[in-house]
Amino acid sequence: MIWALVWPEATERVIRALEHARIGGMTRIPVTNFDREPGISRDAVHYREISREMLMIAVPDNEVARAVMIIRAEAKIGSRNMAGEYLVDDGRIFVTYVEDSFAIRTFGRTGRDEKPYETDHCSSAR
Amino acid sequence: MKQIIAVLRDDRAEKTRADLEAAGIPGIMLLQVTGRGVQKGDAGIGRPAGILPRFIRRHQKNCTSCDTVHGMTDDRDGDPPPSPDDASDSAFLPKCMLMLNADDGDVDRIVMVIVRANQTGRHGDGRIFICPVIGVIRIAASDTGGKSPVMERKEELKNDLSMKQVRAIILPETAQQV
Repeated sequence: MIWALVWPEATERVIRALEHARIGGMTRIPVTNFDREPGISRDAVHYREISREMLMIAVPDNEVARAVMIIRAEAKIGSRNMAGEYLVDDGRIFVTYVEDSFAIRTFGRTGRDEKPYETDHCSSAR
Repeated sequence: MKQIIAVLRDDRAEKTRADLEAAGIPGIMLLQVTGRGVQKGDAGIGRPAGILPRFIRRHQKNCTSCDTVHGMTDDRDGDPPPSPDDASDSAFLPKCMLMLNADDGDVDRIVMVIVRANQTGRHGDGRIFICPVIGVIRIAASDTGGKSPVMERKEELKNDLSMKQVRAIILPETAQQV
């Protein structure tokens, strides 16, 4: 399972790239991020809490590296100030284990799973 | 301890919540998310009309960040049809994400409750993910519950859990380095 914290502006680009690479379904969660980064100053207002989007993508083990590379490449928006310093993060990617995963639609009907992914389904820990 | 993450139909969320409560699992977290399965969010497959556009309008009104993403609007209610630029494959449908932590022995029971409340046999029923959890700490530490390593040793630690102690319990192999 990949949890990618990306800019809302970059989300669509990331999704399209993942789609192009035929990396499976995903869920997007609107979140607010508060990190060590300095934040955004616009006029007199300083924003520390920044709206982001969390993408939750379940991929098989052998596609994790590819998915992470795609997200890293596409999620960079490179927001810098005049001095060339990065103002805010481009986001984070977390990779966690999934022990088990199944579709509700086919649960208990066609045995284990319909296995929508090309390799065995997203079990990582077993 | 396992974390169960289920992505469900948003109109089944209330039923799922009630069923879980009836099964003795009141503590859940529900998020309104948008999602897409491997069939690329095809709403035409087995989804009743009317539920979807209302939600998307509400979502678009509230969500300023992803207005170009949903490729679908309700034509009958006068919304503009999607422009060709928006005609991407990525039609994200409104979904409900359910997250809950459970003991290992309860996982099968909870999964069965979720499946029974959500299974329609049509595309878009959702998925369930079961993830390992290495530690759980109740912020209101006066009550016990949840068999995490930290909570099992809570009595001997007498509520004085410093972060160093917590780290020593849940990650004993790295505690010496810190």
